Amino acid sequence: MHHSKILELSGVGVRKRRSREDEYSWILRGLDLTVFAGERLALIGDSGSGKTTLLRVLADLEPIREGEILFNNTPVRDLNPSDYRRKVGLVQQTPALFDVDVEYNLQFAPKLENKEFSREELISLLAKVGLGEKLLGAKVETLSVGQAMRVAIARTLSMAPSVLLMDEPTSALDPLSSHKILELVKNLSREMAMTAVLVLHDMEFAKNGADRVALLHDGRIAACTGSKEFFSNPPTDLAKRFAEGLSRGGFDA
Amino acid sequence: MHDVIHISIWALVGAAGMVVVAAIVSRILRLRLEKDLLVATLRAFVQLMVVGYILDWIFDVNRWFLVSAWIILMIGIASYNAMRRQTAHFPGLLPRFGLAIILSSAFSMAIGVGLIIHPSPFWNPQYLIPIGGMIIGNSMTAAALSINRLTSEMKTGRGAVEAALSLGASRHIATLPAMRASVKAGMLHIITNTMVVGLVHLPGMMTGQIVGGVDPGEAVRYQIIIMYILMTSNTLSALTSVMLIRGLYFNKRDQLVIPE
Repeated sequence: MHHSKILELSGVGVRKRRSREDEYSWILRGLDLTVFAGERLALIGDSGSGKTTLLRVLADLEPIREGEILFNNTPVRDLNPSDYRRKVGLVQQTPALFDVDVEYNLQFAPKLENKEFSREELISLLAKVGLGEKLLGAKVETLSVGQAMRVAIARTLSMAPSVLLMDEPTSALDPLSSHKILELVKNLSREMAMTAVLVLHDMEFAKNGADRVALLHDGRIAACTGSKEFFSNPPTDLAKRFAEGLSRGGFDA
Repeated sequence: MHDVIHISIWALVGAAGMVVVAAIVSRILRLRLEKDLLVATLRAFVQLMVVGYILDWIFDVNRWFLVSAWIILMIGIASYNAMRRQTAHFPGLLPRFGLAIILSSAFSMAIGVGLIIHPSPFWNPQYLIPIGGMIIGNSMTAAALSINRLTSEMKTGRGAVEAALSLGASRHIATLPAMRASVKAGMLHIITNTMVVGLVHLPGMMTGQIVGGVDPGEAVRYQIIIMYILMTSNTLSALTSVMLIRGLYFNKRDQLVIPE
């Protein structure tokens, strides 16, 4: 099913410091990862393992100190940042909508390319994320967190990206709403044949919703395998801890 | 012009005695400000006496290049101060503050002093130095406030800036809301001051002119012109510093790298 490599990371290293007084340290180091076109890949790991940083690297928001990233076999550093980011769209953990109305958010990406969605296109975009057309004129501060998350997803989908990156909205949503959002992303990626890389805290979803699971530990990929195999036959002790965590009701963020 | 009371050295010493009141309060409340008070008192005395002598000399010699040199010195110090007042420091700030203050104050001095007050010659130090000083000082405040605001917008609004970048926006489009908020912060300072001018406090220049023997009615006219000029110079300073500096928060790939 998975043929071509859409994203390929080799030896990726990111150095950061928490504050100006802090020393620099490696958040990611020597990280290798391949993402295949059309798959849903779950990124899991303890907090501080580098999941969000890795997602930011894939979104081209984080400078890398070492290594290389290929997008469809072209080095990302040779691509224009805007062009790359339009193809690899990010949905952040908190929605960060622009402080106008829903329509403004959905028209933002097309307007950058001097295009504009018709009303019908806007309505079908909202329908994709399970929202009704009456929200089109709603001010963003009147939205519930769940609605805002859906608008953020629709905003990213407006670019019709080939890869969707998403950080599971654990901090903003209760587990049930979070699960609904993930189900939505799963169905969307299926319908639109879109590759998805998802940072997940919900192991249940990682097992049933993702094709493969990549486990991060200390800034590297500690294990990466098919999700059924990951949970039925964990490849490492650490993976086992995560797989067992599932039966205990999941891990905290 | 009326006569101005001459301030003798003994009058200065007497005024310094007023500082003792502040020192006593500091001692009683254990504020440990005595040393700072002493340093401030001595610094104010030395700095202002030196400036007074230099200005006396510039006014006596009355040459355009001396007046220019003094203005340039003020711009240099203002730029340095604008940089020092920043919560985040990063390379490239100083020359950009310098350019922003030069552009905004040169324009305002040319229009305000050159065309409106219209002294002859244009560089007459009696007008250009005090008014230029006020313009430069206010440009400094506006630039410093705007850029501090810009830094905090980049920090608190990081999510929105990066959301825009992720949607394919350039750094310029992604920072438009932050830019608006920052320019506004720089402008509000002078607008607020202008609103209450004369009601809450008499501005320094007007006070000086009145003590110097100028009729209050005349002093007020100068003050009105100055406030209007300052609104322009503050706006230009806030705008140009934000335009010149906002790119520094990003690297070549339009990734937001400052503040960390």
